[in-house]
Amino acid sequence: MRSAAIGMFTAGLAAVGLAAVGVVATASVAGAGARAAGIASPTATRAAAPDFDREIRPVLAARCFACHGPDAESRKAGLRLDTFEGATSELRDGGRAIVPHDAAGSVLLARVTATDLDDRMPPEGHEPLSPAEVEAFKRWIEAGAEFTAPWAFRPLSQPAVPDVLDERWPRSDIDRFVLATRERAGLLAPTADVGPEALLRRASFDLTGLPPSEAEIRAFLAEVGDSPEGASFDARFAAFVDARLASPAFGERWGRHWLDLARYAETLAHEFDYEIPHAWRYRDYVIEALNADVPLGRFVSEQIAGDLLEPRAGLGLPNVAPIGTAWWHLGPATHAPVDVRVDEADRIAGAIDVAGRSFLSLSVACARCHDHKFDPVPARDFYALAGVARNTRRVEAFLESDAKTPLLEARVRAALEDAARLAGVSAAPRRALTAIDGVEVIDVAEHAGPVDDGGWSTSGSAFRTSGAALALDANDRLRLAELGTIDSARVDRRLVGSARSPSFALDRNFVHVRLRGPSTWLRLIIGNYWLDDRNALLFEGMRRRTPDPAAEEKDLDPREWPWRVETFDVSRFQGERAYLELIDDGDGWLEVDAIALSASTEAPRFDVLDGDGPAVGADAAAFADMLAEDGVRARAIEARDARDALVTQPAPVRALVAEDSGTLDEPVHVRGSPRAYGDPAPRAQLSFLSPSTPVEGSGRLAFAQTITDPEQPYLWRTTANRVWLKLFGRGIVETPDDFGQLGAAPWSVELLDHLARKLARGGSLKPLIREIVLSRAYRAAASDEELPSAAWAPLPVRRLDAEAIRDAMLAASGRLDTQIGGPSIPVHLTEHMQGRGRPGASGPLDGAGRRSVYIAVNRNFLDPFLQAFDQPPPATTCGKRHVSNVPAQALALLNNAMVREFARVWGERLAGAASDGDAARIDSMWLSAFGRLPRDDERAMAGEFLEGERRAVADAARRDAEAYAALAHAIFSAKEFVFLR
Amino acid sequence: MLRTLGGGFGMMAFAGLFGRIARADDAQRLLDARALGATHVRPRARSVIFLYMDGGPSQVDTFDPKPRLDELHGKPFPMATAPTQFNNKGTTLASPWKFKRYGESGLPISDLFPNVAKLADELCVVRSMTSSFSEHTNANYFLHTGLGIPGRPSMGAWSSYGLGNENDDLPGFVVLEGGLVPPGGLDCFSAGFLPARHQGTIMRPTGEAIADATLREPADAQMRKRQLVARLDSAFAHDAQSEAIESAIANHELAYRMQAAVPELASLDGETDETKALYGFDAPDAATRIYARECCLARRLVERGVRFIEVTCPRTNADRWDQHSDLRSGHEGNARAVDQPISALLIDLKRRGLLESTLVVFAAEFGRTPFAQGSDGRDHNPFGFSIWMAGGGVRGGTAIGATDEFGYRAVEKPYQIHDLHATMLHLMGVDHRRLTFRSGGRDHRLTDVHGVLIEDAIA
Repeated sequence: MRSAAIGMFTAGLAAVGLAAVGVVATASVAGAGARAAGIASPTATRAAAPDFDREIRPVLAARCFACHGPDAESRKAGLRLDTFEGATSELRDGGRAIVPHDAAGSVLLARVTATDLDDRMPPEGHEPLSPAEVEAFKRWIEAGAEFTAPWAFRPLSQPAVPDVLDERWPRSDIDRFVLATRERAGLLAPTADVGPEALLRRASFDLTGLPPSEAEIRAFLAEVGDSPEGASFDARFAAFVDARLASPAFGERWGRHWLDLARYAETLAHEFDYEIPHAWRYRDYVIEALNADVPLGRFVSEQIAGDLLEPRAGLGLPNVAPIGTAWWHLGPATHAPVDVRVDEADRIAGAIDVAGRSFLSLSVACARCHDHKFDPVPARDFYALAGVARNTRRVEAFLESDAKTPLLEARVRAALEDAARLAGVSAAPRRALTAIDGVEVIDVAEHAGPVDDGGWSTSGSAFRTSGAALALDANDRLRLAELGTIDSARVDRRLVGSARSPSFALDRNFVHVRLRGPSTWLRLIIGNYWLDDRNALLFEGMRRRTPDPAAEEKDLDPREWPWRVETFDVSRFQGERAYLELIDDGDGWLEVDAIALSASTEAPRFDVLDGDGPAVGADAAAFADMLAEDGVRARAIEARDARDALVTQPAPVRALVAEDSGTLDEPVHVRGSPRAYGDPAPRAQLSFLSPSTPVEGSGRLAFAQTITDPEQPYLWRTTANRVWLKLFGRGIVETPDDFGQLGAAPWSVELLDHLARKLARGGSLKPLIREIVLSRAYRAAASDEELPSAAWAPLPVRRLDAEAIRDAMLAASGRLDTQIGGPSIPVHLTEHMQGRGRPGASGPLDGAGRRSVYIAVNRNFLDPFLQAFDQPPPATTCGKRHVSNVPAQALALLNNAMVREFARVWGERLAGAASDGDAARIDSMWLSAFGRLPRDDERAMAGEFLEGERRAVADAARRDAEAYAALAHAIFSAKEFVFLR
Repeated sequence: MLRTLGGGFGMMAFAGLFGRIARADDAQRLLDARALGATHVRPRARSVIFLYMDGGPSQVDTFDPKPRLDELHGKPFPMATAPTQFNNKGTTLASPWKFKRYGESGLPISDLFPNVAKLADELCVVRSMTSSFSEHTNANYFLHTGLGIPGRPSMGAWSSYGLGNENDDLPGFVVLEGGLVPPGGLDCFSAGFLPARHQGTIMRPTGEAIADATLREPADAQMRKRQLVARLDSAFAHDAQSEAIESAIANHELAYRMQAAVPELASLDGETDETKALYGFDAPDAATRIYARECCLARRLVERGVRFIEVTCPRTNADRWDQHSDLRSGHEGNARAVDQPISALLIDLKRRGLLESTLVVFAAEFGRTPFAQGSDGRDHNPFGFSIWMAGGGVRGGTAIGATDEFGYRAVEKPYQIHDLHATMLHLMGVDHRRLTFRSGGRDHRLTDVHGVLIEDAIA
């Protein structure tokens, strides 16, 4: 941030012939002095029509839209000033707010200039428009009062690469775009490129979040010499960049950027900060996807609907895409809400906020209670997305670890079905339970089976193998099984998995489930509320464990187990929707025959169902003969072999995923109240984004396909801007999460669209990042030049991100453990970290040497060191981190135990290595920490320091280690360590 | 504004432009920097203690008695009302607490504040405060920064920026964090576009007061490192020509000094038993004990010349002052936590002669509705609520403005948060229209384009 004072001094400097570094002081460039001085340059010529985007719309948005904008409900006098039609239509009391080409005849102008406070707009209590603003409106109306769509809502343009005056500077099209903005603003090309050492350090941190190694720097410098010019330098630098892009550390760095958008955390905050199970797998998924350079559209689609897409292998799994959908479940959540609808609505609003900001750079969630005040996002659009979210379940899935698993599941099931057919087993007609007692039955039979066809959904092998009329018993013989049940004991009790019933409305007070089997979980999930597995309170009893088998039951054939009924009292939740979840995560098994709802706590007469099931036609002996036939026996052996292969498959991986649950639209909630329904809001049908595909299921797939549609500008622009921001410290749009009316305008929409187009058609991040990093603009020496509002400027000196500072200490000290992925390292707890939900055990002080992205993100117990350096709290999307500069940071570098530990480790390592003397070690430290060799005076300074430290250590054996540790500690506090030039 | 400054803030620009080596004495000057060479009007208060009442206490249950509510209790609320945040409007809800008149002024205060009530003659209650937001986060940003979105400088940051600090070893803006960070988070204490050193420094009332502020090696060992770092940094700063680096160097210097100053400041061992008892160090309620330490620390910060101290609430039995339900128990718990410590703070400042130069402000982001939310709660109400001021330059024993007969809307002398900010700055000697900072091509103020003085509050 530059102060006006600096600009004031510029004039004085020019007078005495001094040029401040990085400030264009050449008087011949019109406007440069004024801009450098921070004084807004006069708008081009008085007569020209003002730029609607820059001069008119912001004033309308800030001063008029609250009462005359897109929100119909708060609109006054029926007048809307956000569209040409609205602004030019006849007013209730005559006249028109705007008459194009006739400023004098435009009521708007009369009202904003009225001296009578009763007439003046904005009304009393608000500042009047400034004379300059009034003048701009006048000229705009005289010129025809053209309304253009806000820039962010226009389709991607295909801007021609601009011509520039200074042909010496650009290396690429990107450079031409950025230089053109400078030349338009009367600014010259940047005067200097950064030196080779600083360029390596810049690129290394930007691409991987780690410093270049001592060896890499030495090799690079040896090859290119001192001159950052010429083809050999370019080729060598390109090779350096390519190696960084290919390094797994790339994904760790850019994955963390994505986690900022996804409000990634591993706990739920609120009172007890409960764990989000398996969250770290999502983090690993993100890192690997970025390393694999998955196309952006595919990657984003996986966040929304990875479970519904073609499989993509990754993380050693045949299909990693469903893990992306953990994105839905990373927000905070509170246990045992009094009102489950309000709670669900709040969680959904959080997810929509993240979706809007991350994928569209729009504050869609503002439309929860009313039409958006400034942007064309009606409340209906919010509820179109809320409908998507309400038909989406949170599932702790069992993902197969091997591509053969589903094939084996199909084989065992087919073999059993064939055997049943050959043995002549047939199904008896099923009797209806609905006919009695006013009981409603969720028909298990209708939906049972291995296929997720809109009925029961399954995860893992256990329930997927049910369906056939024959099963394998414990001795690998065939036995009769029930038809019309969902069952995890058909082929082997060791198989694990889960199954979820269709959703049903709780319109009676009791839910009865007829079941049998031991040692499994049975959950009634109401209103998509799942936190009762941590703290039930109002949901007591909705999650039940079936008892372990009694001794005499252990060897019983499943079909000999008696049925029993579990009854749930849901009287408190009438009107909500619910589903039953069966979880077999061990050696137990569970078979469910029927779900019934009734007004009575007494179980309905399920025994009418007992006449159902497989009929063997003849007597038991005849049935045994049939099973002994060769064909049937062959199928039994086939089933057994497939089963044996299945149970020895690698265990499935647990992950949090999304799953479709229904197709119910959510109406608009009047004023955001989930108890007051307004107009319908069909799922995924956003008015500013017409869906490109029919909306099926929850609508997640349609939503994903729509926002990743190459014809839609939003995702591509917002992501191109994010990439630019992370590489330059300043976005093309400075409000990366808001491209709406209250956000900033791009300093070059042409460059933004030029970059966005590279992403729009199957593009991915790495080529875009590569192109930017190899541009001349990226090489420009850092400058503190006043940031022009409509032109590019070289990046200022930047402080490293929180993670990069810690990781740089790890790298320099040699403590860095480069292991990729895995469960998080628990956060190290200090006495300042108190309160409910405090983790039971503290993690290691040094985080086990792992990169910062692997330190656990406990919402209520964030790592204080990373927080001090502005790692964002995982509340919602954070596209641009704060860069604060506070004593807490200096204090951490001076006194934090972790920092001191890294210094100690570095000292020990240097002291323990074969000695080349102080000078060589100092060189090594400078290269590791600052990416350059020390100057002679620095080498001498450090040498004297080491001597002084040695004198202060009594134990001769410890002198070197402690002296080097002290130097390391001092280096960590040096500004050059934490700043990038 | 900057055009009139002396050697302070300009020195930073000066050093930056000429690429001068930033020596320790330069850093010193940077820390002395104040945007205003002199105050605009006679300062009445050197320091501000802002007692932030997180969540919004109810005006009709604290400082704004409304007997009409008793008459209509349980009946439909008779006035037209704006939509409330939770849209769960119940019937008229009388205050569960009685009001009595206190002091010579006869200022009415409810039974929630029996101790503060004894100091009624020190208080100037503004009963007609209003806000623009009925949602916590926006309202908190508005209360703290004058704009309802994050990213703007906090009032404490403006004070530190405009007036500097009277203690070089401590930050100019300290937030005593009792356990509740306001909705809106640390952005409420941001320096926004002001230089980052004006950002609120978080201080805790127990344990290590400021994280990592304790020296963990022999002083001479640190001194040797410090000298080396200073030499490395000065060369780097010379080379890099960046204000961010200059600022980081200044923060480092401040950090060294904080290591010495903070432990001395934070130790309450030297307080007399009588003082400890006065504040409530041994109160039966844990939240009271925490707030007692916060208030005592606030006094110690004032003694040491810190410009702006914000005090946040401790956790109680309820969620902040935000009683959407169970008003009685929640408000009682919150009042119990703060009543004795606040009265002790006023008494202690007064007997040390500090009250006349310290402005104490008791305020929240909004008040609460006089009608019920559900059966026994109150929703957010930004249309008329009470705040109070005491101390430097404040006319004690007064009540200013009025809400309607039900305590719903300000009807007499309505004031905005901007007016509170203008008045606070005025009492510190600053004309709110003349404390500006240029950013993004325009001069910004804490009060934006608003703000009138609450004249009746000024003695």
